[in-house]
Amino acid sequence: MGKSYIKTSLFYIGIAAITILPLIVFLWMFLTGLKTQMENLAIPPKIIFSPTLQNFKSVFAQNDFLKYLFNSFIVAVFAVAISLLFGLPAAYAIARFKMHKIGLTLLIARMIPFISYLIPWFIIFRKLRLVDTYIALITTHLIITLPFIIWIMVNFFENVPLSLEEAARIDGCSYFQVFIRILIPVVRNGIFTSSVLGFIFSWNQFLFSLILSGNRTMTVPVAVFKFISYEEINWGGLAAAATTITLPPLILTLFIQKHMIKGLTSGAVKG
Amino acid sequence: MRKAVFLLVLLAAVLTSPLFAGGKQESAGTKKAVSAGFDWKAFEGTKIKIMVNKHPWVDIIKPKIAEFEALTGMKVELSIYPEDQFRTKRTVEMVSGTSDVDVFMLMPGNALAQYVQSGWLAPLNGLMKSKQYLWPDYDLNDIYPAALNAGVRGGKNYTVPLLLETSLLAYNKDIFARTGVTVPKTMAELESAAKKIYESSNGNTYGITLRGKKASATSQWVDFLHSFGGEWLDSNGKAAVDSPEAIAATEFYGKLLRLYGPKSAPSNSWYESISIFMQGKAAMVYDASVFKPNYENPEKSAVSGKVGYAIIPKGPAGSIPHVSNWGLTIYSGSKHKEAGWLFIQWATSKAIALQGQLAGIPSARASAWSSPEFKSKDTSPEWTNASIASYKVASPLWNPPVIPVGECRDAMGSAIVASILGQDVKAASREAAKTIDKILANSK
Repeated sequence: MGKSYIKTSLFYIGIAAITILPLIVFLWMFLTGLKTQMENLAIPPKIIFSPTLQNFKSVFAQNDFLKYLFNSFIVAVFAVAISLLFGLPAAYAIARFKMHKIGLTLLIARMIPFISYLIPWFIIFRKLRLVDTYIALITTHLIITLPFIIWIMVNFFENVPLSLEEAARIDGCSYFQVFIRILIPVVRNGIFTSSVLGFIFSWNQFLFSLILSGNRTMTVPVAVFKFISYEEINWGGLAAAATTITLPPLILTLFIQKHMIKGLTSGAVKG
Repeated sequence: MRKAVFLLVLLAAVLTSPLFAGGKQESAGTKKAVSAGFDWKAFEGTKIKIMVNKHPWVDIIKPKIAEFEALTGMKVELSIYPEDQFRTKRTVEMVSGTSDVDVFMLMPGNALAQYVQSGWLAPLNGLMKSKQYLWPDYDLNDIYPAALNAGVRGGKNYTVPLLLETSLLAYNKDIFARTGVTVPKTMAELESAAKKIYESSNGNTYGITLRGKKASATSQWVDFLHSFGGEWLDSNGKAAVDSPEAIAATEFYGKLLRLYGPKSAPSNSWYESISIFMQGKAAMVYDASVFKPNYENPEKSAVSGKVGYAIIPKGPAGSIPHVSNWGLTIYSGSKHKEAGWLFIQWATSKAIALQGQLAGIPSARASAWSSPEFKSKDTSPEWTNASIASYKVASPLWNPPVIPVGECRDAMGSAIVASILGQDVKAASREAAKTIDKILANSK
């Protein structure tokens, strides 16, 4: 009894020790958003202050922030959806028919520094008159999400026992039906995990959005920089905006956390 | 199933929305038949793209774009980015060779050499002389020659200045009065003033503070270089920072800081340097003129209201400060060069220049500085007079007119630090000159 009590408390102390640093950073950002510029520049930093919502108000009032949030959301959702559409069958094929060379090639595409794509892409999209459109942003974000989703999903499909598929085939399913009806439900935790991570990667992507977006399709990571001006940095506004753009991925993660943890820890069909 | 149908409909709806449809056909510029005189409406219906960085000047013109559109019947698309992002985006657009931007901001001292050599800029000389496109009230002669010349390469004009900064000697009047020092007119007086203040306070008050941090120091050191008769490069484009004049300037700059300046000098950039002055710990600072609002802000500065301003003291070659500016340029691939030129003229007109001047953005136009409206509101005429005096004699160059500006500044910065630390300035300057020559050879 006493032993397990100690064990449990040690466990939670360990968790606290690991999470406290990132949480302090996040808390600091949030508090910075609640302070005025004067308070933010004070040395030593003020721990006690009267919080103001002015920064959050100005984020939404002055800078079309909702539009940028919407843009980011559209781009991330479509990039993930299209990646799933192509990535799931691809991952299945790679896993089932052991096409690991193709898998590796896809991973290399993901590993090439993104900046080397920029100029060719800019030229192509410019000629197609697609700069500053969702199509350009979504297409380019596929390079982030698609290989990532394939690479994660290959592992999940590999862990599905072949006998499960064979049983379904004997019962009269076509390959396609096996895929849709049997495999997708079995690997859904993996789908959730890779989708959320893909969503976050796309959401945070800065470089492509800077170059290929314009006034109409600007995404939030680019828009956040509007709080940095020529002479000084509006720390309060910057922090308020940063807090705001962290929320959607955070909420999304909390929402499907249960599936994610399963996806991250389990294989596929243990449960 | 119904869900799937719904999602498909949603997909279709979003895909067909205008944002997906790509660049709409630009309304063709209805260029009127060639007429002899100037006409603001000559490009009615044309759409021009302007790319600028987030700068207080942009805050002045942004709300006025509608006026320009009403005046000309053109459409203006203004995109604004913070400085670092602006530079990245501008470079990618230029390198790709397919940009559809028409007019953009450029700091000639930093980037003009690269942009001209790469052929990214359209020369403005034809437009500046054209009866048809030069607005009769524009008055090019009103712009300070140093500012206009900063945008010249190979005899051609590429940028039109939208503001003009210089560097000034700012001094603490209280300390000067206490120690009986007068405003230094020559480099020798500058040194003796710094010495007197430092020694009479037993080293508690620094005589002067200057930037000492490698590359950042070169932008102020260059005024000493020119005033001593030195140059970044000689007439053959070779490094000249090891000439006797240049060595004397570097020696002098370092000596001021070593003997009468803060010990932290080699790590001070502008922020640290002006902070020391603003805390009242140094009697003088030589830095950019635009820091006046910092000096005079009672919330940040302990010396507000006590600061005097003067042009750089005379060296062997005279008083030669520099000017630096942001300018507007036209992209060489632009299809609307003449329309872009109309925009540039409007954005750098006397009226807008005065607006900026009143808002604290030092104008590149003499008329803004001498306007009764500005003079009646001017709270520091001493700064105004020193600035105007500085503009009149300034050199348009503060960086070497080459592409690898940053690397050259780094190389010279090391020599400046060596001088501050009391090392062999001659050897350090030779080393810097050698490095610069190597950098220039490699960049060709």
